[in-house]
Amino acid sequence: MTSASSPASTIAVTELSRRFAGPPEHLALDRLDLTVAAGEFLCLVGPSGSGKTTLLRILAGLDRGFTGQLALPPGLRAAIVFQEPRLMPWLTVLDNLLLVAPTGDATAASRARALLEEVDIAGFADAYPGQLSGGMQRRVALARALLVAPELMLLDEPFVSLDMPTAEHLRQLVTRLWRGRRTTSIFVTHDLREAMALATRILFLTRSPGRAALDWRPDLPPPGERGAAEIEAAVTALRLRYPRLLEGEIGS
Amino acid sequence: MAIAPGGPPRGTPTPAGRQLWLRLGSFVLLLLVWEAAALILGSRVLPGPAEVAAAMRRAAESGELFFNLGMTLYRVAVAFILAMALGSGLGILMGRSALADRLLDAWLIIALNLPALVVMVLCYVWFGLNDVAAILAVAVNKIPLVATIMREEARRLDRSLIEVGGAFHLSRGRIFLRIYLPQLYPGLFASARSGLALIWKLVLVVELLGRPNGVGFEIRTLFNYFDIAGILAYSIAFIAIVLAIEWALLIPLERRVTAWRRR
Repeated sequence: MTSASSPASTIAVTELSRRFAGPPEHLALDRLDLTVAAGEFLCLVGPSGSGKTTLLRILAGLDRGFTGQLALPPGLRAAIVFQEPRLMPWLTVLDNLLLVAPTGDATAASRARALLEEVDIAGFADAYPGQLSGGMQRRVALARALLVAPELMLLDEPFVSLDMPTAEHLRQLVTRLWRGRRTTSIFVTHDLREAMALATRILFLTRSPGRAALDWRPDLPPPGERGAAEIEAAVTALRLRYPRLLEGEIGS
Repeated sequence: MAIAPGGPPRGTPTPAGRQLWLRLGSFVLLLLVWEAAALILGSRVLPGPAEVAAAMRRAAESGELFFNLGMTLYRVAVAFILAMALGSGLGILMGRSALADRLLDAWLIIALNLPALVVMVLCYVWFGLNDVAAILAVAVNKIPLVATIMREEARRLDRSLIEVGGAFHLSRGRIFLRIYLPQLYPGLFASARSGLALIWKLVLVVELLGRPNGVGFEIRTLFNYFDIAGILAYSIAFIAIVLAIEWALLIPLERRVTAWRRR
């Protein structure tokens, strides 16, 4: 890990590649350069196989088989929200949060309860995950990630299998949480509309192997103040300009 | 997973009171059948419940009953803990490591098929007629069974949940206790319950073969005098202890750690 030029709070990857031995052997990320400034909400958008999840897992420290450089601020607290809620079914909602709290943290229980309040499931602290709907389980997963007071929040398509109204509610929740904390966030999605609603910046990746195709800052009000029509118009405009962007191509 | 007895079958709202009466009724029926069989066969072949109860009281009053039950219970406890610890460790290792599994699989198959009696005789020959040999022989018989169950259990561990522990930088100890272990509970309880039932029967055999005390030894002595009432008295006393351990310890513990499944 080297970081000579970037300020202490930015996250920088340089020439990051990740090859999986397979079979079949394939290159998931190919010499990716990316700098994320503190407080940004970056959405990673790309077709399947563009290495979005791989990049997130590398940043979370779950994948160390990469080449290239990864510069994270020293002692950075990162938290991840997986695609599936991944709650321990044998622990209550409250205990699922406390599981990730540092041992001997006396304030953990009260912070956990406050977070459950913030994600609107305070009444379910003593329920088991199996008793909750998919949307509520996602709220618990969000609260669990927030309990470690992360400086970097990694979200891997967290709302992908939910019905549309539930996903919309959770997107609003994510924006509300981000506006309250300004935690640097990286959110993986393949849904351009979702990215346009949430992001201060969108990085489009190419089809396998993943490279940066387009680095885009939506010309929109801050997240949370964007109207549905504005988002729709921005999506349409981008699609007209780059018709094959979601397939990972920017060529005209 | 074994369903704990006592719980009403799903869907039928049976009151707990009726369950208890059914159990009591079935117990009384057993006593009646026993009494009838004793009357037909004659008390020399099959003593009735009253005669066995009298034999039990005599043995209790002399102190012999409790001493021998205590010795057997001690051997059962040590062999049980040893077999559960070593068997679980071996099983988890084989379930998690393909190399260990390939290396040890043939050994496990041999161990599973080794006759209990051969292990007991060999342990007594190699280590002498002492408690170490007796307990070791029993544990060695049970270890491969525990290992087989725990290997399957360890293979089924949900990796994605274990990864949560890594992603949130939990210590290894915490990951083991809070994420690994709860997934292994069903296997651990299955091994413990079948283990207890097998181990106490094996302990009686090793005691009969080469110990100067314990329920097994006492049964051999009583056999020499054809004292069937005494044999039944000792057997029933020990069965009662094993059932008490099962109902007072294992079942409540299992219910507690699997409470989340019933919500």
